[in-house]
Amino acid sequence: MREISKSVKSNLIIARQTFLNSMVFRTNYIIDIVVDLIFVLLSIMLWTTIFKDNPSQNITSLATLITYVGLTKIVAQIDMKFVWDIQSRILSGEIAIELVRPIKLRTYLFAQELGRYFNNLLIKTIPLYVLIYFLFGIDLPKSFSAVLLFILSIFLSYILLFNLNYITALAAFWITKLFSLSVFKDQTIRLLSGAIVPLWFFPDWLFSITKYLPFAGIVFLPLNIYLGKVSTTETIEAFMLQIIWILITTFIGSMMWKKIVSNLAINGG
Amino acid sequence: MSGLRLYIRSMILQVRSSQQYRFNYFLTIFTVVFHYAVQLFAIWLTLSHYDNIRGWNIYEISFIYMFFVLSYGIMITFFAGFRDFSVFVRNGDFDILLVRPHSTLFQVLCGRLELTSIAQIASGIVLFVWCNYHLHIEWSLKNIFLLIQGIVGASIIQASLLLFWSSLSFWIVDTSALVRFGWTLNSNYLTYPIEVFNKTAKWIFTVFPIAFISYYPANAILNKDENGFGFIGQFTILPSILFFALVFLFWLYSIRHYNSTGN
Repeated sequence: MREISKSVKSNLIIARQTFLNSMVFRTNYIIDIVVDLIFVLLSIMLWTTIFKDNPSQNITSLATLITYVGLTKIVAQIDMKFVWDIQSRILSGEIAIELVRPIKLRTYLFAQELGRYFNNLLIKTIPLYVLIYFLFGIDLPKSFSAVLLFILSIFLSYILLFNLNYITALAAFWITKLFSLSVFKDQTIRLLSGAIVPLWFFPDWLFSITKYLPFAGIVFLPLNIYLGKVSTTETIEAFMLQIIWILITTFIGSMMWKKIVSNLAINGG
Repeated sequence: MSGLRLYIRSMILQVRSSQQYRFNYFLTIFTVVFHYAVQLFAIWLTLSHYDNIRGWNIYEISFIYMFFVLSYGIMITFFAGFRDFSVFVRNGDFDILLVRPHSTLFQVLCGRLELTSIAQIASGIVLFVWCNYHLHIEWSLKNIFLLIQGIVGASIIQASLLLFWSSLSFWIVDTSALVRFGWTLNSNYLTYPIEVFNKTAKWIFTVFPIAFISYYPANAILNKDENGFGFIGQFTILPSILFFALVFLFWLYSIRHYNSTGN
């Protein structure tokens, strides 16, 4: 028991430290907020026009579409910073330290990312959400239970996203240049999670495949829960899908890590 | 004359050094092509559900996109030195350029030749052939002229934009967010007909001339927007030169203002 509370405590300290570190650059913060707002604004204009020009082909209401588009831009951060840190630490050989640390690399990275996430949530996502709500009048969740389910779903989405990024980062042990792999990961997630185009607009054959892939659990499923577009059974299915993919990706990640530890060749000393 | 010789020499060096990492070179090309393919696929998905956006079909919108990809490819081949310029300034490396006997702009240009831009240029050409096959554009002398001046003008504007962000890095420590902003704006939003945005946005993108990168030159050839002032796409080259001149003045002014971050 004491072991567990100790490790939780040390992880909380790591999370807190990253949280504070991200507060340092204030000009960038303002630029980021303004940039995100502009993108949300333009996306909403774009989709509103498309929606109004083609009245017969719509499958959702305009309000729902606007809410979806507005939220995608602030919900998921697909590219996580630790992927690049790991790459540079592998190249410099610093990664060796991770093997002797008392905390597992995965846990350490997760705690670090979580700190960054909450920092982002407080200073960016929530302010942006409030701004978008007042500026564009997006829909609020239908009920209190929808809010709770949405938060749960976003949390699962976050773990899934972390796992995919973790797998990419570990791949840096085999591929020394992560740039390409990272672009592949980002673009695949962006497209298949419904971050660029909502999955509703995918042709049926593609949608029937995409909805079972891990990516749908990152943006599309949480937002559908928020919008109240899914029945109770569909919500349960969505959670099941997210959990199954979390288990699979966690397994892949730990297999990779085992393999790395057993035949690691460190650059430099 | 000696400037030109120096430039050619450094370009030859760049070509040689890039040949050292063959595998990475091809991987990067493949990655870039994949990136654009996904962007286009997203547009295709949208338009397979809805037939058109403001009367523009998939081929016409791809034609707009083609201007963006091709002009970016041409521009970045020579201007890649300005892509991560703020890192250069932040590390204090810029000081070296100030004591050398050539203009700073020239030295940055000499520093980098981006050969992976073949990916953008090839993607652009493939897109062009594909769109042209479906759109049946009549290639009269006028249209050929419009195409060339459009691509040249668009490349100049993309270059000016990078130079603009680079000038700003003398005032703001980290401009990476702005560079990303400009790129996303051009690639994800301004590759749609700008009629989808409201009047204010249209004015902003016309005065700060980034709509001349893809929408206006494409419209000059396709003639889709007849009652608006879409016709100004025929003169893309003029705003591009004006914009470059203004940005260049700002660049000179910013360098004068510059205090080193090094010690």
